[in-house]
Amino acid sequence: MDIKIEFDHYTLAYGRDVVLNDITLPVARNAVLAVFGPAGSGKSGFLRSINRMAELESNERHQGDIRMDGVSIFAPAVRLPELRRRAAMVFAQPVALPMSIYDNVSYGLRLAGQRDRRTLDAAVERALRASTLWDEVKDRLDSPGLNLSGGQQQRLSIARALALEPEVLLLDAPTAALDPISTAKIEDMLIDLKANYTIVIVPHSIQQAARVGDAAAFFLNGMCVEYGAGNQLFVSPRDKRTEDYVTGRFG
Amino acid sequence: MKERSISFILLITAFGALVALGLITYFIFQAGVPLIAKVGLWQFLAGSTWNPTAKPPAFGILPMIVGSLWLTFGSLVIGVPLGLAVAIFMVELAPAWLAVVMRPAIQLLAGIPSVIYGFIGLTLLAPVIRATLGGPGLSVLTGAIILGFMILPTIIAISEDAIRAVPIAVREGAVALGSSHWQVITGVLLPTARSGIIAGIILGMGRALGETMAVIMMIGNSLAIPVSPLQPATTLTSNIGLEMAYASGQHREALFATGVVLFVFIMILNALATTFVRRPGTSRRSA
Amino acid sequence: MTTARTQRFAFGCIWLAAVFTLAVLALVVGLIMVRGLPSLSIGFLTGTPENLGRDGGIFPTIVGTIVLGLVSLLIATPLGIGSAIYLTEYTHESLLTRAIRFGTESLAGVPSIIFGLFGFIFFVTYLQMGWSILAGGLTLALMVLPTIIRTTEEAIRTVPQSYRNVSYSLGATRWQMVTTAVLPSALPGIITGIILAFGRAVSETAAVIFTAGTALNLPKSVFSPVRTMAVHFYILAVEGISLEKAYATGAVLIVTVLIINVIASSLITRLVRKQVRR
Repeated sequence: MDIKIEFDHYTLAYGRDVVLNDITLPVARNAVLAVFGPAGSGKSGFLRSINRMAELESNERHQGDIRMDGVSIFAPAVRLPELRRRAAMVFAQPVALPMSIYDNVSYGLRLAGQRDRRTLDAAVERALRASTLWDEVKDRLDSPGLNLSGGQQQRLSIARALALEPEVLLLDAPTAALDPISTAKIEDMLIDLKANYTIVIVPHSIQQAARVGDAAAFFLNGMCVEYGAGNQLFVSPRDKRTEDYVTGRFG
Repeated sequence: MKERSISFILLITAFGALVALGLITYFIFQAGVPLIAKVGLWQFLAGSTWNPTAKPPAFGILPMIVGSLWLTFGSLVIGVPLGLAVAIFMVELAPAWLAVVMRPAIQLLAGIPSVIYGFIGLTLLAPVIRATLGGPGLSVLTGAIILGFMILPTIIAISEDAIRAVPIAVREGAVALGSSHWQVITGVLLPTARSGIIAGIILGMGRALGETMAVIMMIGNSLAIPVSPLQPATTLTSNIGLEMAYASGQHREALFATGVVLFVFIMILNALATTFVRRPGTSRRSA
Repeated sequence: MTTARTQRFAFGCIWLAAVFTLAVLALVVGLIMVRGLPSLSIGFLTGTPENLGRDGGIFPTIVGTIVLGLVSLLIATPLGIGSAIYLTEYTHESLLTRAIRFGTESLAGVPSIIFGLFGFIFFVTYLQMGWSILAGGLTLALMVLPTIIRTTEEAIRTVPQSYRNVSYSLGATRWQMVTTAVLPSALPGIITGIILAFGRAVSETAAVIFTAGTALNLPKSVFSPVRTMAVHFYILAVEGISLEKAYATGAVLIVTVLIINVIASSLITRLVRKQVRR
């Protein structure tokens, strides 16, 4: 397996609250990893560790290591803004910043200091096409992003992340707040995107995990109970707890 | 590196208010305390004669302390019931269209310069009081009535916030028990909001105690200790405001000393008010 | 009395109090306007005062008011916004923030006459600025600083946390996050605070009269003394120079304050509406 990201005995805690406990897990390059489990199992902590957003909590502590392309993301030479541009994140709630659609999509690039209008134009169009929003908004790029519908705003959020040409996409329940049609659009898009990106997704349902994941990891109480390629976790789980959860007998 | 220096600059600006407070405290005390030391604290506070230019001079501020107390409590008699009523009105009774009018109106009430209020007291209220109740018109009563309106916005704003902050569950509990609207207000809302309301009253008191120019215009500025609200008086502030224009030497020092007394009073009130105001959630994370 | 009758009586009193308050406000504004407007003219606004203000206009005091207000904002705005940003975005609640908040709240409670005394002894005398725009502006700046800090803090706190997360997740540094995601959203609130602070500066008398002076000439530099409209009004009224001119000046003051309040509350309304939409 071609490994993009590697968790190595990684433990994360907020104060006394252990969020992730001794996680060792590979994330394959150009594939979708679905991380699922009940609320409070550490899925979001897992995502937020990859781009080091977890450190925004004042009482964050961690042990162990996470490597991207073999290099520790905690190495002193790693610059946080650059790391977060390499591993861009999309949140559960669609967030259109109070600026135009164009400015939303080009936001990350402008933060990185990109000022060239033609480069920005090209990046905006490419990202909007990739997130399947282009045809719906190409005539009104200057209108406020807040005017878009919820599903559109979430694809805008994804476009905003894609515009950075990241290596990794971190999706934290990106369809949790959306209707089934928008959800289907986004899932289709993910299948297309994985040719170029490594995707880690916290799906909003087990079904979604099974649909989009090339590999899946089941989390419980901050531990990775089971990891498996393809549909293995859903078809023939090895661990009793995984089986209980995917068959709905959990709790 | 750039981030570091920005963070440092912001830290420095954050100290602005604290530094200002420190400077004010230091310079006022430095200018006023020597005279208090020379006269004696008790003599200064309890002396009933203020004659700073006589030989020998007399530095007793009791008339001003009494005047300030009269005026401050007088203004509360007007301002508290009225302010509380308006606050209840805004939260509980006002129809939407009227609430829309009231809010900017009360903001305007707060925004009108105090000298305008003083002028109204001087030209409108004082003659009415002189004609109906007697006395010179420019009096404690005139000052207290107008000051009562001047402190209204403070009392209204803080009481309103306090009443609004009462959790809906608390209110619904009372309604569920069959209380009438008025019973909910007096039995649940006001008691729950009590500390906020008290804080509002204390801050209003501070405003009344600290008001200067309007008071000068309305109160008659007599150095005799008033025994009736219809008599003129002098306050700690009005005396400073009046005499600073020409005072020098020891006289000026005595005015700063008066400032020290006022400052201490106000700081005590502020400290009282902050202990009553419920602090907003302190656990909130930034970033 | 029955419950229903008690309630009716109490609500009647409360309604009366509200109407009475509005009536007093209307009386104050109405009286000054009715008596002041007749003597108001372009000449009054652009003319120079003569005979201590008994005749002529109030142009220098208008200039004095605006200049003094602007100088104070020039100093207080960066300080206040910086302070608010630090308190909300750069630190956690701690002993330090509590001390800073204590300073801000105490400063807000200090009476203006104390500011006047302080400005006089510190800026005018100790720093030898004399009665001047600079001394008055600095004094006023300290006075309005808490207003700006508070309103900015409140405005920043209404910015959704998700904006900050999005900004960070796309590689923003903290300062970039503040300038691109927080401040634009908080701007209407911040501007409201600045406008209200300007209103306070316009209305102020006690802190200004001992620091900026009472000179009736047009200022030449920041070291010139000035007289503001409020101070002019006070002197006209208290020294009995001219009741007619006092009313006219009062009318100009009221109109100024009205304009400031209208702008501020329309901004607040916009702000509230925006929050509702989210």
